Amino acid sequence: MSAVQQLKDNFARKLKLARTPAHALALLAMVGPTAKACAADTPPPGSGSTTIHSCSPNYTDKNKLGRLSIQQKGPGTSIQWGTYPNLPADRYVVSIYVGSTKVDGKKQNYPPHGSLPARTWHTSKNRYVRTYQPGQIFKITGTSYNTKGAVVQKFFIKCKLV
Amino acid sequence: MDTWTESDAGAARAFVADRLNADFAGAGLQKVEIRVDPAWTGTLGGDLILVSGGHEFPLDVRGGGVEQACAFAAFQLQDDAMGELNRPWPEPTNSAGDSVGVLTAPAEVDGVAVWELAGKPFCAIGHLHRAVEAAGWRIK
Repeated sequence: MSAVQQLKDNFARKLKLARTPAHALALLAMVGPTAKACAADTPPPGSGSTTIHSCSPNYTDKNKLGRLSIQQKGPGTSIQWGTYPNLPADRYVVSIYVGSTKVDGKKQNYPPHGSLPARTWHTSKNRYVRTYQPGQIFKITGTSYNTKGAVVQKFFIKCKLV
Repeated sequence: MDTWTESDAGAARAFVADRLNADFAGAGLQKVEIRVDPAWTGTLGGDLILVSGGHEFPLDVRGGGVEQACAFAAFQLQDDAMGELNRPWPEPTNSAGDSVGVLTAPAEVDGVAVWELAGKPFCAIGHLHRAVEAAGWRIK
């Protein structure tokens, strides 16, 4: 079984678990009291850190407002990312960057997650090309909105790829 | 010498979009479009992006070729489909209703962009539904 398929299968299993009510309850319990009560005095996940952590094997930042996660199994492997904010929202908008280059963007009504393969085929060059280089910064920036379009929460996380 | 004409580019974009739309029909996603958006200039695909509902990402149809573009897009859209449906997808079932596994769309191609089942090529991207039907299966 290829590494890519293993990742897909793992993702499929994780997703199945992550979207079940039981798992959602466990997550709420893990990050503390109701998000609303914390909204005024808790910075968004990712905002308090000035250290650039390694993305490998994974980097997770969490607080009372939620959890942000980036996983890179090792050098030259694909990257999985997920946002798990606790505050209820109607719409989530995220941008994904490798270095200063935007590589993905999502606007949707559930907390976004996604992945970036490690390399892609380049027909013109007749070889595989990497989608990122070791040492580059992988960054998620996002904002959630309520039904009236007002900002509920902003969040970001970044780490260094290996 | 650059031999890539606007006509070639249009044909390549349409070919990729048609194959993706064929496979992701019924997966809860909005129709795929491939657009030029100067806001994405400087990304891997230049300024060419794939848009499916609220999901946008650069697509290197020219440099990577149509098969790589199909594979990369299917890899991304499969995540979206599973997110929308809240379950693994596509998951064919046999005539008894038992799952035969979850197909995957590897982002790295070796020739033709394919759906794989248990690590082996199952069908080319764009032929998912007919291939499943031909196997006597149906997608949950």
